[in-house]
Amino acid sequence: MSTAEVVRAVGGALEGVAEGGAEDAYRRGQVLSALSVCRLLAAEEAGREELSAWLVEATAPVLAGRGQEALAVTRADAVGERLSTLMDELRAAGDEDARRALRELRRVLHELCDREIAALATAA
Amino acid sequence: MAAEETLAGEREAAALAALAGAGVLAPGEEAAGLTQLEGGWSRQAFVLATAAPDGATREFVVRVKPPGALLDTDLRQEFEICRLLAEHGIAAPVAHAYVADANAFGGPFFVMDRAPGWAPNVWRRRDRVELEANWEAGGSLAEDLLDSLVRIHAIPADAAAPILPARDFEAAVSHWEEVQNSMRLIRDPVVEDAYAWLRERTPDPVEPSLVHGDYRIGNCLSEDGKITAILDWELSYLGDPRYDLGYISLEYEAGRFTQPGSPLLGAVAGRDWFLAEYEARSGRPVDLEVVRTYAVLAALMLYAILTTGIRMYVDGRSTDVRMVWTRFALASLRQELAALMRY
Repeated sequence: MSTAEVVRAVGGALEGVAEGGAEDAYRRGQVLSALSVCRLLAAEEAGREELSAWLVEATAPVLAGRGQEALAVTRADAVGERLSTLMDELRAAGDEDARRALRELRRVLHELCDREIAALATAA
Repeated sequence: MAAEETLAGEREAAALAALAGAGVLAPGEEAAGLTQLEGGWSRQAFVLATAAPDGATREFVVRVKPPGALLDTDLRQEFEICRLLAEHGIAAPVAHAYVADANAFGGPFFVMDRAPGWAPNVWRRRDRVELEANWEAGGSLAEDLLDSLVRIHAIPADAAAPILPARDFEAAVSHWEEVQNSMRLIRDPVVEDAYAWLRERTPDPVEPSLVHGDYRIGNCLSEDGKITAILDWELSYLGDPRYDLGYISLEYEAGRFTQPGSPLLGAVAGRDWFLAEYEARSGRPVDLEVVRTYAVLAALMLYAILTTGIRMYVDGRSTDVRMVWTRFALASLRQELAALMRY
């Protein structure tokens, strides 16, 4: 079973518990939230590989233009560090090349946000 | 189970003692049950039912700041704000007693009347449908939401100043940026860029007023198409009232998550109507660019608070699974930030 399938299975079990009625509103809310987490995580996992590949490709020209290698890893913390640092540098540089690169990077990040939401929207 | 029953009994007794101390209880009035409410991200809330010897029953809400609360804001401030609002005729819960001493709730609490009504959840489709129907039918909730906001902002600043922290634009930006940086698990380029964007858009200063800080229909109780109480004042401060306009204009606050929410502002009112009427009734000019600036600040505030919740769960300071769920809400806020900054 894939991670997404396992998470969906756990979510299904939680849904059954919630439908059976929890003792109070707080506990029922906890179960329903856990169910929602499972659905969203499953959707995220299902889209992760495609989204990562797209991000590596979409950011490669900007990184190359600044003499940097393409994103080699797609762990969120490493990507966040690389792109945040690059944006710091571009904002500080202030020349036309930097401004152009910053505009392009913002366009890529906006599309990344849209793609991330589109992936989450597939949650059953 | 026995331990839970003992704790519940001790909590009932603590709340009842607070009410008795405030002179609220009728002779012989006793506790008839205590249940925890579902909502509340930074506060816990319980309903205390009481019964008098003549058979009369009523309900109170016990609002608790639990240990390691999501927002480290002052509960006494909320209690005092509720009393100030009552003095100015604004629909707010009638607050009776504040208890700071060690007690069975595990943190300071205050007891207030349970106001009648329902708090809509704009992220729930059926609630949005109901709110939109209200707007189509004349917008009684929009009218109340607007009227209350105008009157909140009209409370003299010197009346709120002894209770609330003052925070101008720069201080607000710095405050939430510090929260974000101290709580984050990873760096987020969109969020960091948004703070840089804000620092280039400082609005012209205006006279400070009471800012709710979390002003939305979900923080109001309503009944029969009327708002009966405005709740959740833990983010209130003395500052630029246009913050509340930016906050309520977020699409996130109209129910947007992975799908679009309501086209209405806050899922309640026509956007143009609300902002134009606010300007006309308050006498305060509404600059849409300033509203956009405050919308970005509001989104960053939400982002910082949700990040704090995630941090608390990861560090083992909370077992509330909603803190885990908020990880996905960050994606929606990040998308709205990118749109607001016109990336």
